[in-house]
Amino acid sequence: MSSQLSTRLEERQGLADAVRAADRVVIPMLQRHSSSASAFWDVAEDVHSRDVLTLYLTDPWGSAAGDFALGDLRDERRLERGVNELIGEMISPRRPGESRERIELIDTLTSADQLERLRMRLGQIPNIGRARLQLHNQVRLVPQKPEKYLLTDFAIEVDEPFAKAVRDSAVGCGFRLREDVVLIKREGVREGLSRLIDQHFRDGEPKPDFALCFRLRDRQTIHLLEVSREAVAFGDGGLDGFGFSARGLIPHAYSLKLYLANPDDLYAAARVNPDHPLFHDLRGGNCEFLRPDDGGEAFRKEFSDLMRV
Amino acid sequence: MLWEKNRELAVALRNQGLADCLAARFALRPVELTLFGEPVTFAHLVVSKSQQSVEKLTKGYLLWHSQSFDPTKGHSPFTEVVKDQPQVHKKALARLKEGMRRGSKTLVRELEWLEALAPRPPSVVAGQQGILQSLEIIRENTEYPFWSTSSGRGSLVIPAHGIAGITLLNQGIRAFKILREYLNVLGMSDPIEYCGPIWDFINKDHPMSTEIMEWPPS
Repeated sequence: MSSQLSTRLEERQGLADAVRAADRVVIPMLQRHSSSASAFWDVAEDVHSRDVLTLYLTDPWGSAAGDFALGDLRDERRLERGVNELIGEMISPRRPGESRERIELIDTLTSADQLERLRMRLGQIPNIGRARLQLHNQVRLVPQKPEKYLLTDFAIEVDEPFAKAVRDSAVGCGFRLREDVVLIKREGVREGLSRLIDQHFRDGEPKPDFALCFRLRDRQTIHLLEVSREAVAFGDGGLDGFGFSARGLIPHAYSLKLYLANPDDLYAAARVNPDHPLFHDLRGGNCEFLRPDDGGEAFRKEFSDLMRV
Repeated sequence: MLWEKNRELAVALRNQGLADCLAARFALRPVELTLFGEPVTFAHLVVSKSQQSVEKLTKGYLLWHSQSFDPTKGHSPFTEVVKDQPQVHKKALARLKEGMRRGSKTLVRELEWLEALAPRPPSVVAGQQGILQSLEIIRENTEYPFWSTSSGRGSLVIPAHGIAGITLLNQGIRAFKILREYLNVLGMSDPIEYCGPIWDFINKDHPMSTEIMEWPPS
């Protein structure tokens, strides 16, 4: 439980004394609700150049901020009413307005130190008190690692303008964002794609000799290219994808874009449209090979010219 | 014939197709109207507008790919590649069908059902050209009344009256579901310049249920 004054406020002796006097009311009120909460006071001016004292309350599960005039601090009943409202808001934020963003983090073994570092970093974000920050997680003890615990369903909710700073803080403290994991690497995605490709083997459609995913950084869509000698050769260099909902087929993905090409058409497409994302990713080695599942060795052997285009 | 600005025309066709979709959705509502004492449904309107929407979106897609595609020919581009059109259109259509079938065989089957309800000109044998022909009546025709002989004595079928053939609950909802699925699939497909706005239309601007209800909601 701590209370801190901004440097700007410390420099205003009269105001700082008034705030310290107010803290004798504020701190006991806070302690009744949260042992981990902290208070931070700052001073600014309103449009009429009057002093406005802002109190930021934060704890790991929420935050709130409110403005007080100097007279409010000297009137104990008004001060208590204002602080009570802030505590209520910190526990259950209600202020509408800014759109919220939920930043999900990957389950991780963490230590109390690492969490404390994150808390400190978040606390240093300018105006974080106004971000309505909320932490969600589940903690499990791991007997094999008594100094750490497993943090699951970890997410930070925050007003949208603060999302980038919060993301940076989390990454800076060693946490990994779920959105950083490319779709193809997420649980069940590869298996779902394999089932789909197997289905194409069985249902009388051109059987794929090769299957690979590209545009791996797409967070919503899986881009699956199937190359089949049985596919009709169009010879026009077109390589259009057809999109479908991924629901029930591929977990985590919103949509699935299927590209089918005859080997000759793949070469034609590389000539006509060398800037197609497929060829960029092939040349840059940013593809995931599914069929055959050999890291792309067979594909590179078969299409060695294509890789050099 | 070559269209000078085929892509502009393709976009116009696409947008007209989307307007037809709005009309279909609007008509998918519980109406309590009568026409000379007969209750009227909008089922035939839902079905025909859904079919016309699919037709225009598909023709726009083909026109986007080729300057020489003639969108004025035929009502069912998805099921019948117009025979006297160049090979290039057949390729674009074949690729569209193949790509769609790979993702959803059901959708292709359903599109074929919907197009089967489109108006068809009578087939005229050689030597009969220029002579009056009887219309080829489709059993579940979307717009015209016709004589049915299925009951033995024959009866007049008037789709708008909902007395036979077409109902909102049956063909109406089915047709609109097909259209909505087609818009979703096409909207997520390439080329993005043609297809992207379709996705915005159906997912951002006008998300639509297939329930029989007043639309747009007040």
